[in-house]
Amino acid sequence: MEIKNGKLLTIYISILSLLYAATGILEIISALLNLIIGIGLSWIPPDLFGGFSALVISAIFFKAIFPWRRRKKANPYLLGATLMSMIFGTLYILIFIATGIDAYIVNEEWKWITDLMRPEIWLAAASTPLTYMAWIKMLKEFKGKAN
Amino acid sequence: MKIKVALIGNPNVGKSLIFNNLTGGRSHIGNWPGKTVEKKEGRCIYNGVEMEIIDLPGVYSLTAQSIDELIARDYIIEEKPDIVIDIADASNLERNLYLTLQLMELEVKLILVLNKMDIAENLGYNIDVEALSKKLGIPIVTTIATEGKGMDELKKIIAESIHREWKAKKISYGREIDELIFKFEKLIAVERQFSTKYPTRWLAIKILERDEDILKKIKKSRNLDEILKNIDESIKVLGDEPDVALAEKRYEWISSILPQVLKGIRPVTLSDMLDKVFLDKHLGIPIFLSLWWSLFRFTYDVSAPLSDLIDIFFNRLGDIVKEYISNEQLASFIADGILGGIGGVLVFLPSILFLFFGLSILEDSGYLARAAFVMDKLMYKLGLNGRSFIPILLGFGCNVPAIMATRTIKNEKDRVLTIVVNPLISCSARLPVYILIGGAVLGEYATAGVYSMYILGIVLAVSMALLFRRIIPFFKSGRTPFIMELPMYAKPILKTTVIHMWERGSLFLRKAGTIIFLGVISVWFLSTHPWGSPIEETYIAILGKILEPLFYPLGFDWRGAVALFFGFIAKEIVVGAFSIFFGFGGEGEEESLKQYIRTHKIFTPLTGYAFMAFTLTYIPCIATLGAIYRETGSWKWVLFTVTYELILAYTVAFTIVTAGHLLGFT
Ligand SMILES: Nc1nc2c(ncn2[C@@H]2O[C@H](COP(=O)(O)OP(=O)(O)OP(=O)(O)O)[C@@H](O)[C@H]2O)c(=O)[nH]1
Ligand SMILES: [Mg+2]
Repeated sequence: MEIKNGKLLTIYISILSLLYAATGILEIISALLNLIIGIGLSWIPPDLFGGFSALVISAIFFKAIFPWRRRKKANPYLLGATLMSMIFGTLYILIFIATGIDAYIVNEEWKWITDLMRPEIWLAAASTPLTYMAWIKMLKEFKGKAN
Repeated sequence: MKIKVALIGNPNVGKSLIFNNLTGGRSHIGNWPGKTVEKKEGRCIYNGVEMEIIDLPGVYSLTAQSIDELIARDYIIEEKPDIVIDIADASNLERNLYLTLQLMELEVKLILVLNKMDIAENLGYNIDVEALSKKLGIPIVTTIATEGKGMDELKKIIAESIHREWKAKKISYGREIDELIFKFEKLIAVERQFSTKYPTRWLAIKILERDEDILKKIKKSRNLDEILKNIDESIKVLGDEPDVALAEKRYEWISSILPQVLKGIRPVTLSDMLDKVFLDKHLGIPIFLSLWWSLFRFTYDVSAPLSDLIDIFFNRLGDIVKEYISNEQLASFIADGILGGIGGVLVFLPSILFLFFGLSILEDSGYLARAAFVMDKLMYKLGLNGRSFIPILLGFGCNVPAIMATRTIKNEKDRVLTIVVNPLISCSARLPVYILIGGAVLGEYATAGVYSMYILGIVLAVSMALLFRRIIPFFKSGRTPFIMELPMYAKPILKTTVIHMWERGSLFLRKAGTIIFLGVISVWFLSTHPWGSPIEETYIAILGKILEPLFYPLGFDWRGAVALFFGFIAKEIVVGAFSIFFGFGGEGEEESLKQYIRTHKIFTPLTGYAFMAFTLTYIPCIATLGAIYRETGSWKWVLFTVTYELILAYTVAFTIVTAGHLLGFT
């Protein structure tokens, strides 16, 4: 995808922002349900602060939509959003691995599908092309101009 | 022949890294201003010349307004090092040269080091080093401390300096001010008590600036009357803030030479862009909270397999000991006391190392300074002074260094206020308690429970600070303007991060081998004697039963009460004590400590959570109390902290239990 394709990019970023927002809201609802009636939404991890974090990432992606049109240089919010997305993606993958190892050590059953279905892992995967673009391609262009 | 060399410079320019490079020392390195708050000494030999090198706290100027500045300035004036190395950040020359000018005025033998040349180059700066050296009249060495570049050259120039003399240029403040300076200089020069000790022109300038410390010293002068008269006169020229007027002149001088030696304008950098996001008006604080949340998930969940391995290891070892040692007392001492108690604490080593690993990454990347910045801005709006949040964030590691870090706070009242609320910040020693109790009774919400303790710590610290400022006359003070310099972001280097983690983690191990060991062994002794009696009739139970009524409204039984009692020595002992209490009796080896606490209803989710909050708040450990005493110089504040924290802990835990009951939890 070329950087000049502003429209496609805007759509890509908007979708990510929406998906993160949905994830965040559902995780929070799931957590609250779990707390009150003892059972959360199926397939949605009941995670209050995790949901909050997803909402924060959504908000950064949302902000990345706007300055884009005015300036076609590197976009700070895109850098921030993809960075956060990667941090949380990596975190949940690490947790996935650690839970697996731990289950083996204490000899418990490992519900690996539930662990792997953490939406943030898949959203991080979905934002990888964007991350590459923001951090490698755009920064290169940006550096070229700075010097 | 030995030469004394002092390293001085602005905060975060790389002094300590250069110190470590030269001496092989272990000064703390990180990417935020204000790490070094005490001077450190090291040794270095080059070509047969022995050098004693001193790493000083970072300072912007030599006005002696805060403790760290005073340490640096006093060292240079009183100890008179043979050579002063002024380390400057080459990527930020204008600001760094301000200190250089002041050192030139001190007429010390000065060498300027331009460090971080790599960053300067990346920014597209081109510095004419030779021209700058001529303008200042001092030798210059360029370095990249992270790569060890320029270190040999620096050693060489220091070693050779014994045979060389040079004089820095005098800075002119314009005719009018220069004349005033000259007038004071003449008055002082005739008195040996001053002229042998201080450079006279510098002293004259300080008098003109009405530097408090110097005005005190000048009281002994025979010409005091005339000096005071002249000071009154100088007000006509310099106005009410002579230090500001002179500072302006120095900056003018710097801006007049800079264009001749520095080419290139600072472009927008990646750091600037990231700051747009991380310091965002609305998102700054939410981002801080999410990143901190990720830190705790990392600490709690990812370290779990390692903790379990250690747990299994100690359990097996205990079984073996009990099987092979026939003397019952000895077997219990080793298996339950040492392996059970210390093992119960060491199980948390992975979590603590993971926490430190994460904290080090945040620190080295430069994010810690941003987190402190966004929070400080909020604090400032709330009516507290800025600059307190670095100590707060450091408190997550350990409260002792955090309390020492308050030395960079200029206003003494704010400093004491920051010190007395710091123990409310949850240090790593409390982490094991949260993990054990939270893991036992909070189920899926364990990590959220742990995280909420950290947030609760911040909220309580801020609320107490606000409260004390309101009701205690001592803390009432005007607000000082809030400025904080932010370092550039940097990619954390795995090796340094691991070293950081290990430095702090090994402190935990040392503590486990000493004070925690003693505490845990005492708990073991008291809970097994009189020998042979059931645990309810041991000495510790007697002590516990005395304390129990106090904790009854909170729902803690005597075991919780006793654990808290010993936790005063070091908070890790709380888990060590539980591990001893519940390790006994052989209730089926399969049952882990957490399961035991859950199934035997030692804590319900509600009382467990209240217990966590109580542990967070109730009393600083001995080491922290020592730090409070050292840094405030008074037992009054130690007593104050203990008292208010005990009251607060009880109130908080009671509120949690009561509110929980009202909401229908048990
Ligand atoms: N890129 C680059 N980074 C450097 C260089 N020298 C130091 N740093 C980094 O700058 C940061 C600060 O280094 P320190 O040695 O802790 O600074 P300090 O002057 O002792 O700081 P304070 O004790 O807080 O006054 C660290 O993150 C170092 O890795 C350099 O030459 N190049
Ligand atoms: Mg230092």
